[in-house]
Amino acid sequence: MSSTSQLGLILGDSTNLAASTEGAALFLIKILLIVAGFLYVCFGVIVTRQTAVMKKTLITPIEPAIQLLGLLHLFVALGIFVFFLFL
Amino acid sequence: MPDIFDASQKHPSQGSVSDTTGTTAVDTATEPETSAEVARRPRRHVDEYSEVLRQETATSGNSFQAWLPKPHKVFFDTQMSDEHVLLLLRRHPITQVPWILSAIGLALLPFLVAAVFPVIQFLPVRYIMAALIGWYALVFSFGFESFLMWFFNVYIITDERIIDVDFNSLIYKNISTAKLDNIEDITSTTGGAIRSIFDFGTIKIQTAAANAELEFEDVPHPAKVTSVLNELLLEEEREKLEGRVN
Repeated sequence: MSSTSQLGLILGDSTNLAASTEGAALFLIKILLIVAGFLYVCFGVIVTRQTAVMKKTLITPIEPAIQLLGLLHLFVALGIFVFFLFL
Repeated sequence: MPDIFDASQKHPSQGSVSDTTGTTAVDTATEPETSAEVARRPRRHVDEYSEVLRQETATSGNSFQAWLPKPHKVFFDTQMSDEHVLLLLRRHPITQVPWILSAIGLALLPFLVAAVFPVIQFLPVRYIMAALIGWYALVFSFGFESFLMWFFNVYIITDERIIDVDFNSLIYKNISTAKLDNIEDITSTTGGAIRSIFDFGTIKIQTAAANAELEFEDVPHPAKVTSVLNELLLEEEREKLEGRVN
């Protein structure tokens, strides 16, 4: 094999290695984002549940708005999780 | 010569006596009230016995205030049918400034990081967008949770009890209740420049109940709260003396 072709193979291998390394890093970041998204959905469920408990403990006219905000927060968390899944 | 009064005879104008001046005095002597009649007497309105709350106008329950005298449409889950909420307190809004500033700082942090450490710019655009969305979702969660902690951690004074509602975290709730009869001692503490300027402090209430001490932390107008509690204690004593205990 000529030196030029050997050099080309080495460079190609380096490029492939860099690409595979970058791909692996992005894959790892994606996995972390998915896990974080899942935990955030769990947190959203807890917030919604506790808002309902708080609303039963102290009843004021503004609480339906707060509970609605909690539900909205949960839906946004679900949307973020789905977004991370299809990243 | 004037007639000699004879008590054994029933006078025609029973209950009224005419004197020589022509005026008529009405004899208002009546039978004393029985204890049942006294007990049936309606409870006095708070404005009748509390000078502090008499000067306060009733507030809407929609308010985000920390001092809510005579709030409309505010109830709690263990409230009795004839019990009225006289005062709803929260921690003074100035105590929430640290987390508000923290949330603002966290919101601005990505821009600082991008300017100082441009490492993230090597990521694909959608990953940068995902990271930003995730970051601001966390910041919003932090702010929302802090707001819920402030809004629902309340101190309630009714005409029967004092209630301390504590949500120490989203999954831990503690409600302490003490009847006004069981209050032994009230201590109000206002220390420091910030507390003096914004007029908020901590009130410690010693009780004879199972919960020896209730603490109203960083509530506005601690002197007024103490006065209201003292007036309520006096009214409770008065109710006991008059036999109007419910």
